[in-house]
Amino acid sequence: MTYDRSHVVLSVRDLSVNYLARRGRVRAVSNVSFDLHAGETLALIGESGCGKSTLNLALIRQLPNTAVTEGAGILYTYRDGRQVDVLKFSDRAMRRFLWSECAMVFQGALNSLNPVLRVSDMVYDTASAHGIGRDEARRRVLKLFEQVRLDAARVFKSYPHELSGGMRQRVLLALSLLLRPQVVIMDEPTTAVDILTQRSILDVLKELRAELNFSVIFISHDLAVAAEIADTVATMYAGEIVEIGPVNDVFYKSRHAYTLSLLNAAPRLSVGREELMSIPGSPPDLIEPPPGCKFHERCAFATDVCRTVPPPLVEYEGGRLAACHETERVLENALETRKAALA
Amino acid sequence: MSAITTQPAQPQPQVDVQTPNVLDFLRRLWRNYYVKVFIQGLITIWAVTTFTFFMIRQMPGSPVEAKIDELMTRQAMTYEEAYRATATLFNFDPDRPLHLQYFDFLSGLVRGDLGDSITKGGVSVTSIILRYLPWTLFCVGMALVISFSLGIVMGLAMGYWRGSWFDNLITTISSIISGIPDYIMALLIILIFGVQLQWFRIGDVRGGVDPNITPGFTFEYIASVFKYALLPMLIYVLSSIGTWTLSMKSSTISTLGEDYITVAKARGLSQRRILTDYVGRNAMLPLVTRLAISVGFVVGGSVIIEEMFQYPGLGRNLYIAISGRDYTTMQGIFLVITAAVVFSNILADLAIGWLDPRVRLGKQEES
Amino acid sequence: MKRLFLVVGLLILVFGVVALPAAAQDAPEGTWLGTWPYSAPGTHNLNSFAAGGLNDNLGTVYRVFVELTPAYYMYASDEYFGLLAESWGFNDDATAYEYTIKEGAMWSDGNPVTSQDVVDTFSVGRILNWTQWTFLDSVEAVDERTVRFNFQEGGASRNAERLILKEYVVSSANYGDLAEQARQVVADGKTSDDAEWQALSTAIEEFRPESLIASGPYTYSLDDVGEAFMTLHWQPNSVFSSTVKFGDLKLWAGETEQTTPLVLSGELAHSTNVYPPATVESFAQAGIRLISISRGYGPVLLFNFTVPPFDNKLVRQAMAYAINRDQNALLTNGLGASGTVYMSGILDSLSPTLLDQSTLDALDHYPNDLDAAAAKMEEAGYTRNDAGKWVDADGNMISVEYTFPADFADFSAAARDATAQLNDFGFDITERALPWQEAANAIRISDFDLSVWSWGSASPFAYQNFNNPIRRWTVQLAEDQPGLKLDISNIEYEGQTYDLNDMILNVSNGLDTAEQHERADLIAKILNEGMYYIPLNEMLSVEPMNESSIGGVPADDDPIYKNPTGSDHPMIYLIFTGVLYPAGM
Repeated sequence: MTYDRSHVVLSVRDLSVNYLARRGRVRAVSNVSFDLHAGETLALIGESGCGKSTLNLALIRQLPNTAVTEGAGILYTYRDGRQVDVLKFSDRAMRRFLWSECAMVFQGALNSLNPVLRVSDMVYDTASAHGIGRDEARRRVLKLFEQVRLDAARVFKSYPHELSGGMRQRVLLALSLLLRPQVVIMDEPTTAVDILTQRSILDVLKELRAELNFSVIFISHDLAVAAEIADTVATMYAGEIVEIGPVNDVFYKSRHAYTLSLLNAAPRLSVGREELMSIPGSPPDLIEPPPGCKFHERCAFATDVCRTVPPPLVEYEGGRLAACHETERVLENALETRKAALA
Repeated sequence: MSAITTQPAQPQPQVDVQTPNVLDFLRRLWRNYYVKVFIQGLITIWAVTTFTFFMIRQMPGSPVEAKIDELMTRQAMTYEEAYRATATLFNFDPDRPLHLQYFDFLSGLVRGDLGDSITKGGVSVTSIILRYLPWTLFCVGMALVISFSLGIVMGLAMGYWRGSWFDNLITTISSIISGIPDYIMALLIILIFGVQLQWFRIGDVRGGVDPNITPGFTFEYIASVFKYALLPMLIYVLSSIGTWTLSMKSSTISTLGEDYITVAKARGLSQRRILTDYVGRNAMLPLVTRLAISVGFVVGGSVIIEEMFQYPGLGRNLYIAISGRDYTTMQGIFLVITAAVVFSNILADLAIGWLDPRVRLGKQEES
Repeated sequence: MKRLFLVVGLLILVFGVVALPAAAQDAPEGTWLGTWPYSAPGTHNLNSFAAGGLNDNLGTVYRVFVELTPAYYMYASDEYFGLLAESWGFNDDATAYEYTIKEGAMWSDGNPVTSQDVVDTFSVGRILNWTQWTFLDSVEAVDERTVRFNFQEGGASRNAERLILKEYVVSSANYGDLAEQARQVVADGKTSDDAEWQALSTAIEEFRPESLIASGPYTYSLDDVGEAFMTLHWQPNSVFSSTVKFGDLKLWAGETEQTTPLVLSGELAHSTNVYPPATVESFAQAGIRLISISRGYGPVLLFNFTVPPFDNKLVRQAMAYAINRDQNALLTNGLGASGTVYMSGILDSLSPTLLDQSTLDALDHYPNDLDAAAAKMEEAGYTRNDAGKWVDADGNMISVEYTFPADFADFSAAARDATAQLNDFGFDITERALPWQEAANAIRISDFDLSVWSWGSASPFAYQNFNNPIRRWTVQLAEDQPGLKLDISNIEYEGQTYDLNDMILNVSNGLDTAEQHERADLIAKILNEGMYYIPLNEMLSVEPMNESSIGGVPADDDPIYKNPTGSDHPMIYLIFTGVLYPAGM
């Protein structure tokens, strides 16, 4: 997949999200920075609770009131080149921005549609909130439904419960593209559906992306799916991006111990099941995170320095970034694993 | 009602290929959901009515004895005076065997005749019900509508802006007033605003309408009807709104946690649209069943409130009938209440099916 | 346009003011604010004989204002005051009673009240099995205004006189046809078991007069009956139309609970309801005048005679000694009750007139005396155990239940205090509160150990006084209702057996006061010695009388207040004679 590396659509700078809990401040996302280019697909991977979903909700400012979002900015570039900081939007401006510029496909297609409204009502709702007439909305969505291979006329009049899980997921996908946004955030869009449906959704997604050329932030803990669809992969651990880079580099030449652990934990058809390793331990407490590298307690490569000094994000060849003290040993191990797999 | 399925009704396979006969027709009729529910309702009403028929006759004291005791004790009449004022006046034969009384009652019922009041000198029970039912329906019904609507709106707002001063204030008030029984509230209002502060003359809020105004479809008459219903309605509303508000609040809060709300917000929908069609409609669903059931109990009114305000409703008549052991009137009123409750339950099923497309009433039941 | 409206409005106002007093020239002004639990519209009718009719609607206090009785009884002076009648009395050999209607007595429809109206009244009453027909043989018109009541053999009594003079007279214009049929049925030799008789009885009950024809100074139509109140309007034709001072009698619906706030807010001036002591207190604090009228009854402790040890006279006597009746009275109804003094079975207020002084002196007044009570218990074979409770030879305590009507505040208070006092004395009694209908029924079907109900009667005769409770809860019950389980036809007294039932039935017979005294004295002694029930106290009706709307209320010691509330209520006399008037006139 290729994309225009010169055109940054979304630039996230130093974004942190804190929840105020009774016990103290939960640092759900800390100091995250990344750029999303036009047409790029960025996969965010990591265990449950690593902050992927929080980060995404923070991007569209849909976090509950108990969350405090801070940061240098979420800079968004319109198609006409105008640049704005999403964090500085008024509520009204934010509402206009949402969906028309940045849409989202949530996980759990079952519950993402209002059970008491017809699909058509939700289409009209969305369109009218952004000043698009009913006829235009209907025309657009019927075309999108066809593109995602739905029986457009029937689905349009249906209630959500009359549709299967896969159909609903495709409705959501089509709905997210209704207003032709530049960015679509997809939060585990394929987890709730069976493998065949997953396949067809991914195919549809790829086709649409090629045709409409939007950028995608793709959240998944399914590394195979991420590998298939992403241009860039970012590994998140304990609220931080610990490694980011082109998909092949990150997957085959991992520079962070956590990325490597994730890859080893993932089932691969090419590898025998007996070699599957799970990551020992559990993610750290985000209120009082461990000193040094937050991963050290679970890390096979950890040394004394890992236990005391937080590793900085260091740039490597090919525009890669990783935050690991033992990056060389990790890389070596990654290459060996790959060699063994190929053998 | 158990006949709710979450799937669209499947077409009924043709099981019986024999020539249709009457039995077959009946069986098919029975399978029709509405017919079935209706017949079940009738059976329920008959069972409850039969039960009440025998129960009220088990109450200690016959109408004659109750009247004698009352006159002797309350009006200090001598036994002779009380007996004379009572005994010959009731068209009721206490010695008639119970099962014959029951068959009289049933055969009358089938003909739509509820008989005559025992203690009210030959006034037909039907005429009593027809005279008083509209008042109760008007007063309690209006109050229920107001209470439900206000409760829904306030609960929705409280749930949506949870933790705001509005939420805290109304939650506190609701919790307090829903703990006060309605008759205590009525007493407090009468004593504080009527006796102490003299904001209104207590006598002026009694009855159903100003007796000096000729009944008719005039502004004056209707205004008076509203004026007299105001206080009882206020008390019904106050005593029930707390429950509606708090239920709606908690229902709203759980609805707000649903994904489709987050999605709706992410779609940039206006707050009003989200509040009404996304939060409101979904949060309301569990309350609609309860509303329909409450509609059934409207008919009984509130016995004590109607008695306190001398409101000409069915509840007050039930009170009078019970203390006078007026069997036939009690029976008639209980019958109306039972029918209302049974049919409003059926209504609840229909309403929820209409509001929530996920719930489909199986029009053709699976056999 | 606006101005036109104004002018028209002013004109209406002016004519209205001028026209009103012209039309109602003779009607007195001002409204009497009373209360009665009348039948609500829809069930309300104007029949003088039917349920939901005048008797229910206006009751013992207000019916006489629309349908006069011949006379009104004054308890203090033992005299009648004529209402419809100008003269009355037994004939010389006491085989008949006669009264003469006042000259000029008129119905509201303009016709004179005649003896035929009285004859018709009693003809209809005969079909309805009125009590009067147990001693009357016939009623006949002597002349236009004089009626003669012929007694059956031995039927003459002062009670008969009272029942004749207290009977409301109805108009022949309304009831003449029914009366004619009634006489026909009787002339045909029918009895109350015959279908014709019963059909006529039903016809009488189902008769619905279109309008009330009143002989009293007030009348009303169904349009005057509202849900919250009904109004009786003054009418000019009555012999009392010129003496009453109120233009309207406004009667609020409801009973104690509904009328309490109205009394407090001054919208109700006089009420006959029974208010609990705390409410009476708040009336006093609101500056409302309270007058005490005899209520004609009080709470009584009733025994189930098949429950040991209440079959034992000594125990019953001990209980009478053990209960402080003054304390009981205070707790029953505050100052509106007084502890029973004579224990004669006749109200204390009537005992001195109905019994000889020597008898009153001879009766055991059962003063509160715990030693005397203990002595009686020991005599009955009881001893006190370590806990101070009385036990029989087998060591059993007197463990029984005291049943009382929870919704009658006065009776429950009396029962609970009696329970507490007896338990202090060494009994083991538990309270059993029931709704009043059930409490009454419990006595009827003997499902009780001890209970409370009323004793005495608002009647000037010994018969009615003795009747309640001892005949009421025994022989007057239905056959399958055993009541107190006391055989009152076989009562032992000083070695002899008496038929108390028969004695009470006949105590007020005849006209010889001395004989009546003699009979009453013996019954009083039997009841007093046997303590078949313990009259706890005698209640007064404490009735609010708001002087900001009623003027002329007599002083508290006025003899008219000797009249009891249940019959011949003092207000009847006070309104009829114009003593009471609207305040501020």
